[in-house]
Amino acid sequence: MLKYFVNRLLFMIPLIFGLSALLFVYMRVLPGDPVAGILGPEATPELRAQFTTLFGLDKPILEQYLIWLADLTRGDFGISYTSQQDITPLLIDRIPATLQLLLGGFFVSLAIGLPIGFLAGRRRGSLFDNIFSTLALMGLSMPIFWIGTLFIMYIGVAWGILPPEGYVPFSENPKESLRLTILPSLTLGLVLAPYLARLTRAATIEVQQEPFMYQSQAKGLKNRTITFRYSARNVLPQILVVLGMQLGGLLGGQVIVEQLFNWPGVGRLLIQGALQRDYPVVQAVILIVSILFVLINLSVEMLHAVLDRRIRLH
Amino acid sequence: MDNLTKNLSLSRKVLSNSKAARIGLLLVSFVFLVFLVSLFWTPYDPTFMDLEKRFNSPSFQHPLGTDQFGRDILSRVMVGSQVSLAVACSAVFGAFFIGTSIGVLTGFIGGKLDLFMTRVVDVLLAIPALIFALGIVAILGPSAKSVSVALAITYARQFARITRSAVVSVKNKSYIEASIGLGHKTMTIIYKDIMPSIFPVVIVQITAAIAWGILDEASLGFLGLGVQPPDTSWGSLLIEGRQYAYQAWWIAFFGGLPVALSVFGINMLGDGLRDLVDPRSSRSYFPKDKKKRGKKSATESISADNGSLLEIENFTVDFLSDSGKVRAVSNVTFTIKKGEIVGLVGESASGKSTLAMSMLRLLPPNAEVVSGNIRFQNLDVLEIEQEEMRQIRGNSMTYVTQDALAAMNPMTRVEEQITEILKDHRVTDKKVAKDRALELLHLVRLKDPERNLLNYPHELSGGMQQRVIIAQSLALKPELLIADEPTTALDVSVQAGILELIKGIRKNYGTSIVFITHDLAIVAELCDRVAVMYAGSIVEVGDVKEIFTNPKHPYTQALVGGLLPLRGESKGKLGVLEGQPPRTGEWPSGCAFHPRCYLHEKLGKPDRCSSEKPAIQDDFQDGWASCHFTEQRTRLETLKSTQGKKLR
Repeated sequence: MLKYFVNRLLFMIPLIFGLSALLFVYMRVLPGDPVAGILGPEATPELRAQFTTLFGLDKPILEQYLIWLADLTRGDFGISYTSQQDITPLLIDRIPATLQLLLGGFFVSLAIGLPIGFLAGRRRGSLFDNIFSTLALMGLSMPIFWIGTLFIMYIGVAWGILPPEGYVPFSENPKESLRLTILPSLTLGLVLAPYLARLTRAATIEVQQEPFMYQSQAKGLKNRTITFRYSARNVLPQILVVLGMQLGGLLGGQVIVEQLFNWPGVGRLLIQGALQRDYPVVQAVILIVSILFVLINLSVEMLHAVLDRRIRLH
Repeated sequence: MDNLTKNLSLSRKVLSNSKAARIGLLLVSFVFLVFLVSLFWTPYDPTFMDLEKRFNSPSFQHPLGTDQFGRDILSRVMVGSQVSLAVACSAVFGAFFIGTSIGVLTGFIGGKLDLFMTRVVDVLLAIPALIFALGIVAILGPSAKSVSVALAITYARQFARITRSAVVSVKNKSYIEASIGLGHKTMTIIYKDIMPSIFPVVIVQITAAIAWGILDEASLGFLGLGVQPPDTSWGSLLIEGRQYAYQAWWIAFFGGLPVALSVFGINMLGDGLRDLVDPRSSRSYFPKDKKKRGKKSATESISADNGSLLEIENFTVDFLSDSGKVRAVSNVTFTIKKGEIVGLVGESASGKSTLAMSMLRLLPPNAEVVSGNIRFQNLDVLEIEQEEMRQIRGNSMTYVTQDALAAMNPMTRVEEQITEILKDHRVTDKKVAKDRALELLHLVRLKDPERNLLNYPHELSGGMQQRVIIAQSLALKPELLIADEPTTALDVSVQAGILELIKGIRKNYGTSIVFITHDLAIVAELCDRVAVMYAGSIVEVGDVKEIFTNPKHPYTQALVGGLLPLRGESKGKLGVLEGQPPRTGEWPSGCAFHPRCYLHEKLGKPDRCSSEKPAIQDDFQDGWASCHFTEQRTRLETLKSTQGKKLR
């Protein structure tokens, strides 16, 4: 088991290298002129030349990449084109806020998606199933920022139940910080919850058809034993298999929710960077988020290996 | 042309099978209609500003209200559909083109190119979709065109991966190998053989991608990266919605509604498609434990205590399917006495397993008991309360299946598999339960019980698994053990051990056993009595010696004479006993066996066989057969002997 985990972790190294290389290539190969994007089309040739040398854009692409990579290994993400600031401290500042919201959204989606999907699957074809399957489909059809805006309008403003926006670091005022996290987390959670509900429902139905489910009844077990020990325990590893990829949706939603709630995370950094064509910032954030995504997938995979003893470990 | 008609018939099937798909199509058509109308007409000029009319709430003149410049929101929503749909559709078209080309080519060519491209796509997929698209827009600069290019590249990753695996899975199929062998051109093979077979996968993907396209365009528009003012898309409407969320709810509300509606429509359509394409979405067979009585049947109650443990009387079960009712068990009357081993034999689909499931009252949800009674220890199995029935199962009536591994919870150890029965019935003490589990494993002669108690089911061998299942079934010393082909999946040497074990159970506990099997040799060795099933009915019941030495029903005679193998098809002409066992629901009229019956043939095909159903057993007596001509013993004997000679 340990060997398997170590192997998986080691496999991440080439993956991250590949990721950084592809990211760099795709930022340079696509047609776009960052210099004009930042300095404006009317910039004088002198100004342009100065900018180009300042950021090393006159060097060959391979050299640019190697410099970037060398800096990266020292934890240096480079300098922002627009603000001329070091990116690394900027990221470090914003990562806690992002993680806080991400965790909140993740828990909300689990809390909503898992039980609903499980019950709907157990009672396939029932009224409960029909209502919630339709709701789930509606949920995944609604733009996240729309749901969020409606939340702000009603829960935040009209009914005044929760603060509509704002952020306080957890370390400063934990209670207020959590209170402010509720509404954004709820919004973000609703991105993944319908997917999760559908996945869980499908997995539950699949497990329901297994012969051991029949046997559990023939053994005269109590309904509670069947539900938890047989159904739920077999559904969980099945969800994990597909959960990892779905979490990408959560990370994408994160960016929108940060923008919507003026949440000072890395997502807003990415949007600002994209609007201003600030390549180093965009590159840095995408790399960070992708590594996070890969790490999440890895942990999900490991959890699966722990939960389901049947999968063979290489 | 051929493809076109195939696709048309596919879409017709989707629409006729799924209500969701019809609603979906309706919504999508509505959105498309709005889009078409907007090209020629909108109620107001969507860019016309009238500061007098700022923030008007919805009214007759402005059904969806006005925005901060007094522009009519309905007109803006209508015009917004143009950008949104154009971006989504062109993005999906691009993604389809790029992704499918990469996927099909790499999957088809294989080798190093495939390996390389698969790696590249895998790494690219490590970037979450929306963030990937954001990165591309960052390079190209904010505009509707960049969004559509960005989304095309983003979705192409998925298209490439999915089509590649679809191609790889069909590539090795014989007809495509044949096509390659015949030296057809690569492009011809891809176009003619591969594309049609991956079509369903691609169409589901396209539907899903259009839904994402609309959502993601809206998201990027909302982030200010899509169309720039004064142009409008559904996403950019929401920027204003958020800005004025505190004062004008209708801007936000009606800005998002069209996105939600159209994506919902597409998703419903997609679900309909997937249900049809994905064979996994079939019926559930998890049994429903409900009181099964359909109609009360007017039969007298069975006299108590006549030495019988389980009595089945005039019992009939139907399965409800899409094509109507199908009879699975027909007028079965049958008794199991205390302490006997009864063999239940018959071909597949003859109703043996359905009968067994009925005894446990665990029929599939689409089964319906049409008539009859089942009494177990003088309890009406079909009428008692759920909790009472649960107490019986696993306690006084237990069940052993063919596939022992599949019947065990893969997530729990052998120990829990046994102790949970004890705990859910009457043993509450953990230590007692564990000791009993160990004792049971000793009893079923599982080797190394202490260690195997801690193993998971998949860590045991097939024979050991079956022993564990038997141990479970013995946990509470049952009165009746129903064994549904418990030895079929095992090696002959392992089989013998299991049979010994079953014999021992009866001897030591006096447990009655129903042994369902295909194997007459086992029946001869193990059973006291035999019931032979054909097409849902019991056609003959008798003492095991009687059945083997003097079978009365022509079908039993065929079985015993080895004329008709119970498993598989009878190949070639075996005297007059040719033909296949009838399928459930397609039983011949009259005596269901008559089309294959030599006696019927010999007697000159009397009408009675095909028109009248032979009487069922009604007196619980052995030595009876459900045949119109059983009584003509002498005649039967002679026919049998001539038949035997002829074949030998």
